[in-house]
Amino acid sequence: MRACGRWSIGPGGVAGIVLAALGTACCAAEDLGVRFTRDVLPLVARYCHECHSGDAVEGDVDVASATSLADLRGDLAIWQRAREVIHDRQMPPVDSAQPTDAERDALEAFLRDFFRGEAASRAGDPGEVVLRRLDNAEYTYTTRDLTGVATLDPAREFPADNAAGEGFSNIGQALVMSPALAEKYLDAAKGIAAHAVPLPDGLRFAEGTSRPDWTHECLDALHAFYGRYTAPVDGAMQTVAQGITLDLGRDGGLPIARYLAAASDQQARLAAGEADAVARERGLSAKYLATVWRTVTAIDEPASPLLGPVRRAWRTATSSDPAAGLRVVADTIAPWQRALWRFNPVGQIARHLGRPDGPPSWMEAVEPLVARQEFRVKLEPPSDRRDVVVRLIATDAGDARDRDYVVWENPRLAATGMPDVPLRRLRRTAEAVAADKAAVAASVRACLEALGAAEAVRAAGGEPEPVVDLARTYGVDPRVLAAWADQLGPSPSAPPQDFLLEAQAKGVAGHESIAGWSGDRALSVLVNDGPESLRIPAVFEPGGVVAHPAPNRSAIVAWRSPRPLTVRVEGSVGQAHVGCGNGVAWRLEVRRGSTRQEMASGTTAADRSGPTPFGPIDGIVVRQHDRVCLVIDSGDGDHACDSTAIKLSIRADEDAWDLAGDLGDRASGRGIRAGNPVPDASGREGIWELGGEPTGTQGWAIPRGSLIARWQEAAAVDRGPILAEVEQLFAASPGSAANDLDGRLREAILAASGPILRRLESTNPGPDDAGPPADGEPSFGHHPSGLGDVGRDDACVLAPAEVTFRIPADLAAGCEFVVAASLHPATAGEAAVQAHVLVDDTIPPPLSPAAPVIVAPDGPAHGRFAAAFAEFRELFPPAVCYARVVPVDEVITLNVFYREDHLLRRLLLDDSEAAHLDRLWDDLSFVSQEPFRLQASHEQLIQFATQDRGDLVNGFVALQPAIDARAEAFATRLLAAEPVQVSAVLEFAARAWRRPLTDGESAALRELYRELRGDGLGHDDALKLMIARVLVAPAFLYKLELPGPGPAAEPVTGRELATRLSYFLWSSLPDEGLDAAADRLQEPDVLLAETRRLLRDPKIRRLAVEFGTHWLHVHGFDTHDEKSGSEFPEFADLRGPMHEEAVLLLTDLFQQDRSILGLIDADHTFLDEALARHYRIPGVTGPEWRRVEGVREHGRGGVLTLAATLAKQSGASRTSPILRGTWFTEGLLGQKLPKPPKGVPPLAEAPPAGLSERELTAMHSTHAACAGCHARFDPYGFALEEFDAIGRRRATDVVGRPVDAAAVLPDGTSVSGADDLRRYLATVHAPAFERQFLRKLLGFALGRGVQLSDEPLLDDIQARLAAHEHRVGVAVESIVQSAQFRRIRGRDAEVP
Amino acid sequence: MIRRRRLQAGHVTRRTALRGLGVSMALPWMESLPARADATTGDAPPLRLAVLFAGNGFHSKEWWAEGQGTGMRLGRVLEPLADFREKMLFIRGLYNAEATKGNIHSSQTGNLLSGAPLAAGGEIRSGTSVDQVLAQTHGRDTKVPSLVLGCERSNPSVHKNYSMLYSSHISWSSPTTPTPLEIYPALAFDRLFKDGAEKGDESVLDAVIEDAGDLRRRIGVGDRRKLDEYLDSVRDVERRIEGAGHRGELQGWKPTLGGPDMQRPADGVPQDIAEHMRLMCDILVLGFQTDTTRIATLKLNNDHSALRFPNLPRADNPAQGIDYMIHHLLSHADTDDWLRVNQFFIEQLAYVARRLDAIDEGGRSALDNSMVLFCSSMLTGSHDNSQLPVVLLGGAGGRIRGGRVLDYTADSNRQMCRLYLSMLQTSGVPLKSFGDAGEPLAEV
Repeated sequence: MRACGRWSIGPGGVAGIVLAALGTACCAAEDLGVRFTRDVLPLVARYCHECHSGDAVEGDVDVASATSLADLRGDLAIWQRAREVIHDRQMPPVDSAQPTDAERDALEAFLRDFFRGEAASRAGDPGEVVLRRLDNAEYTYTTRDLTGVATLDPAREFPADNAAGEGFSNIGQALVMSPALAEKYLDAAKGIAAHAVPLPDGLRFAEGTSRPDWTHECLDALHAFYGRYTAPVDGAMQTVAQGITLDLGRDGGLPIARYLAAASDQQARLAAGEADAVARERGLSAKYLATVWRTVTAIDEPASPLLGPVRRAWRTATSSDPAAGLRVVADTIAPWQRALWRFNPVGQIARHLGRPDGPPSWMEAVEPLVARQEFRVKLEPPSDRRDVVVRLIATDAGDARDRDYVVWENPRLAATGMPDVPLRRLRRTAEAVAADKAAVAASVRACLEALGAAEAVRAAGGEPEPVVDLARTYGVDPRVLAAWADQLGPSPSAPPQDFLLEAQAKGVAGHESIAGWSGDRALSVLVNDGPESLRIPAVFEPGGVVAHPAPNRSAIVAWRSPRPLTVRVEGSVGQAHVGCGNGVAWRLEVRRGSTRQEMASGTTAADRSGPTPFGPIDGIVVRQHDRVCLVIDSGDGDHACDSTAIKLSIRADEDAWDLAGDLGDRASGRGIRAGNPVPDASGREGIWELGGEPTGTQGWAIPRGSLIARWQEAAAVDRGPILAEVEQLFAASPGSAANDLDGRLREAILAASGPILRRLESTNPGPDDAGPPADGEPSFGHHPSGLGDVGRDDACVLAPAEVTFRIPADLAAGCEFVVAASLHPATAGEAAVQAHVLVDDTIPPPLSPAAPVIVAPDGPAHGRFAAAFAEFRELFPPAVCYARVVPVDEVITLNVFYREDHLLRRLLLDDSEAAHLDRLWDDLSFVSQEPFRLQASHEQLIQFATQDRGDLVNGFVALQPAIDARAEAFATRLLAAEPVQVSAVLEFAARAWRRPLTDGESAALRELYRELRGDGLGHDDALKLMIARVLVAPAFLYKLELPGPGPAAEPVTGRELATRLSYFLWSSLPDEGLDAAADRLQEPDVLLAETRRLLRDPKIRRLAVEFGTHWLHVHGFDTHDEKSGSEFPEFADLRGPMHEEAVLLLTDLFQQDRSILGLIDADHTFLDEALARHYRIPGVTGPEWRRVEGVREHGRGGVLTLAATLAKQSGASRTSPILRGTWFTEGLLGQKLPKPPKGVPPLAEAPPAGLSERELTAMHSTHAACAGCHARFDPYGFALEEFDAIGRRRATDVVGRPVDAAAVLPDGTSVSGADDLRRYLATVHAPAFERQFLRKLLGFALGRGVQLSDEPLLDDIQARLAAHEHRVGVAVESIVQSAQFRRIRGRDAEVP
Repeated sequence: MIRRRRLQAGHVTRRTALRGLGVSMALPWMESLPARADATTGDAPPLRLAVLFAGNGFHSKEWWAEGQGTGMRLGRVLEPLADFREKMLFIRGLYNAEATKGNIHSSQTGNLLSGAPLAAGGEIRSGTSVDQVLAQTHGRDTKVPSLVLGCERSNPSVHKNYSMLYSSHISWSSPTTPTPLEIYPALAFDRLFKDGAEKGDESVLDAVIEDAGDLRRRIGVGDRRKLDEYLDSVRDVERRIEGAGHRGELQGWKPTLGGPDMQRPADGVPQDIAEHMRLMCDILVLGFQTDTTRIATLKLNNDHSALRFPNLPRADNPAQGIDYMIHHLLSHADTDDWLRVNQFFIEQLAYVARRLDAIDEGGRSALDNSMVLFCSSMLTGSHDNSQLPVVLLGGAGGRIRGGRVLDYTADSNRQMCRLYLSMLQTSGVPLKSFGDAGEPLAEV
């Protein structure tokens, strides 16, 4: 079917065909005039003149003045109408004289022939197509296509469109304009312009209208890009800052397992070099897949210590095992990834801005190479008191060299306050400790008695005898008694060395009333002695005391007892910082001699809502100089925001002390400003000591309530029974009662690192004789091969080697095992080993990722291992990019966005992908104005540091120049982009206006920009107004076509034709393809190719909506609001699906080029679950839409039984056979029904109850004036009575009787139900159905009503359809190829 | 205010150029009519015109009024107007000859306020409606020349060769331009009170007007008419923007209310039809009271309306609403439900009257200074437009005496347009004829 040759000859071509077909009419042309005069005029005179002639003609129709064919031609509309009314037998009126059948036949035959001739002679006339504004739908689609923003809905509040012509809203006459609408267009244009995002090289439109929205869209694009290549990194990666747990960013992981799986599955194809195809299939990077393939299949020569195991593991993995790749990763790759990389918080990385300290990057290479490795292993003695076995293992680091001499340096036991115990002397020491323990245990009672006696003397004001004498008196070892005296004897009058805070602080944070004492790193005790609450940012209540610990030093407030007292203590501890900090740990202690008792403790971390009170604790017995201490500890070494409000009061019988009162006592000249220690209110000196001590160095703690504590607090006379218990306790065998309070007391007292034995230095027995090594122990001080010296306490072995020590439980308790491993200097250069200290029986591999490799820093082994690690890092990094982009791993971040993706680029991306990535980053930076935001976040950071971290301020301030310079450069860049963006608006205008701009238009647009800037508008605002101006221009809003001069029709330009075509099929402007083809669109092949392309495009759905649903009278049915809500509550949810079904059916028609007649009797439709349920069609589940076959057995199929059409042609609560019948007759068959008569009598005032819709209709139609016409359409409606007012199939009608769907159609055919009617339509009226469809489609395409001169085209299309299975594509192609579609009437064509 | 424009030497201004080309400037034939000075200037309150329309006619037995003044008796449809009997003309017998010629519905409404013939087929043509004639002569005295409001979307279809836009539009700014109705209360409110003179708007509009002017020369006559609609509209917007900030200087009369005394309504169309109508009535009253506009039409529903009234209790079952469509089932029978719906419409009119009557404008109420015309396109629900239902409320500033029933049933010249001509002349528009009427109604 090459139509080109035919239609290119112009409008006459089509007409020619028709004329040829009507040969007789053609030849009888002269006869028509004769027939008119001879046959017609007399009939007209006889039957019409009475009413339609003379001065007062009925209905303004004067037929008498027509006396020739020329007269008929001058009044075609009237004669067309006459033909209709004669044909319908509306004229002459029933009460007038009627022509005979023969007369009628003659009249109709003449009119038919006459109009055929007329149509033929005018065929192809483009007709009058009035200038068309975009209708609301076109405006919406066009702005969406133009901007690429599918969510735009600018016409939402425009007035509804009107219809004209063939019933569509794209008809110029019905598309009106008003000032109110013009204003809406202006507002809408500005609203659309607000979506424009200025870019370095032009413009783009975003969904959002604010910079944050745009930034998010850029971020989304970037995240999506990264997401295509990466997966989450395994394992939790978190950091804690300011007490808040922050995520280090786990996205951006390299999904190595997927690559290995691909390599494993597709070995043959990869070996054949098909990496690209495999990668494409699996969504992988071809580049990296090739790398992985190369790596795992390479021969491991020279042997690689890290890759070797990977290759071996991969080789054993079979392709049939899908988990093989995963296992290779888990076994051989992941452990090394963890060993060779670490992740840092990136929020404040600022090396690029000139801050050298801080981490260099998110991922940082770890080099597990050391010259010496230290071990400290906490020893936990087993509960059965067996020896603890410690294994020292040295491996050869997998490289099998033979000079790996390892020195285990001074393996020893260490505990706080106890001299180290070298393992060389392990057995000797064990013996000494055992002896001392026995001596101490045997003398506890005697020692306490001695101390009790001394205390009594002291209490009586005397001076007790020296310890040596006392020991002799009580028969105990003086060393042991001295140790007891140190622990339990009198408290020192002066505080310990380095305890008191020495720096006086005044006017803290600019507040005169805050003063106190401080040490290093914020350690302080301060008081607000003014009347106002202050916030610096910690809150200082008036008179409030605030203590702040340092990271490793507690802040302590100590009350020193002036004399022996029994006191009651209470107070509270609370966060002074609001909304920051992770709280503190606090303890209330009584300190006596070197011992302490803990009275209360807690943390403030859990409860930030208010202060935690403690006490009152009654009956605390204190001796002179004993201290009550409140200790504030950072808890975890993080002391930021740890300002702590403390209260402490101590009350004795006749005396009382209050911390705040005494410290804040400014009026008396005492208080915190006078010195440290601070006197009390009555002027006693040295009562309040404000100090600090290293965290974790408290003295021996006596458990409250234990025997010793009870002994301490008891009066002398009550001590006898307690001493008896003490004696009993220490006489018992070790291990018994070890779990109760006193059992623990005994263990603590007798521990080698405990308070007494430590003092006795039991672990440091005099003579230095180690004796021979036991089984598995090394020999100390000797080189096994005599290659050099070895220290006395060191042991040297040749790796691989294991040595073991068995440590007695008594000795191990409370101790750490400490050792260092290094290479023997004589052979260090080429040696490489790994060292392990183990207390279990695991066997480490020769090369373990869990330990560093010990090598000499400058030796060849160092180079070998460094190279192997680097190679592995390069090939298998755990992550390849910081995919999160926005850091949230610091409380305050400097970096607005953080980019780290060089590994991604290097390993995974090809050049174009890398360029795309760069573009995404550049857009993000530009759109978000990142350099400006960096300036802002930097300022914020400085303020934060100034308040909380004075130590950081200088570091941040140093960044200022670099940050300012970036911002300045960005400002310059913004400026440079301005003209580019202005030019982009011109390009936008050309697309919006659907044609190139003239020079004048370009100049005018630029001039507008200058004018707006001159009026003081910023660039962005001016740019937006330019865009708005483009969108309110007539060139955008109207489908302008410039007619040729004179009256003759001419082809439109290619671009105008492109616009016609795209608005016909897509209700929108041409896309790039059509735009490119525009200039050649008047060439038949090009037009046809583009038409077919447009038909296949998803945008063809718009033709289904804008043409199809109008044709079916269900346009906008998805918002149809005319159903009774009480009758059909479900309708609101169903109208959308009902509409969608119609749209999908019609979309399918156009897109798949199906038969128009298939719309009558299709056996399929499109359903989702909701609509299928409505239709009671089983087997359709889920919300997605699908094509469902075999629907006719459920009474569906085709347009006749769509729920949408059935419901639309019904009332609010009842069906309407009248509406359905009219729709069938007029809408589907295209028959013209006469207008209803005037003065229809009202229906009965109250219709009799219990009537079905059908009966109501029948009643209505029985009136004589109505019956004739109703019989022409009601029956079609009756046949559809099987469906209720929302299109549900029903068996009974509204009054509950079986539905009566039987009807006698106007041509006498009897039908019953929709299936019959469908069959009838498909057989009898298929041509009329098709003709009506075509008429509507043509009217929609042309934007005007179909006119007489279009009839030959419709004839022609129908003939072609008959030869082409009625495929709708043939109709569309015929229309776009037609003269009327491709041509425009001349400027001076006659306008009616 | 004269707009600043950079002009090149020897360059004529756009306006000069356009005038030279004979561009129509908002219906110049109207502009040339001298307005009678005393009608709209000076310090007297101005005369306001409101037209409220309800489609589908009324209950055939309950639309009537008899008697005079306070003794006037009203049919049940009109009961809500009982308080306004002395300020009301009930007019019988007028009709619109052109509307009886075409189809039902689609050709009974579009010419209601003009009496012009309606074009069928693809063409859209009626006549400039009475409100728009007034808007084009006096509209420029206020910020908004006229308000065209509606409570129902227009129906995009074609009915027996007539576009249904005819049944959705009573207000026409030219014979080919029906004025789109504003159905969004918020946007109607904005139109009155938004002073949206944003920086740069004028430059944009200016440029666009220039586009249209250039184009005009190159297109056909039919297209030119369409482009002029656009050109005039844009120019109107520009004029409003230019006038922003100069309001009050125009009127020479200080309204009783300087700005809106109600909140801007919520966006969107209210779900409840009663609320929707009430809001539109409020906005109409507010437009008059603030003298932001003096001319308004409010189309309560379309002819061939699809409104339902679930808010009104059914006569036979008060627990349920009249949840079926006004058209057909409802309007084609004189049921009690139909009566209730009729009353509901009249209640809107009564509401407007009551609110206007409560505004004291120096001795007279705003209602006394207004003409509030209520009409439909047919007398009964059965398409009978051999007579039209007409009620005119308000005293037109003392020029109309209420409390009367006028009956033209027997008059051979009973054109509805005679009433319009009376109203125009009352408003100071010295037209000698309007539509199919050559003389006013003497009694009005």
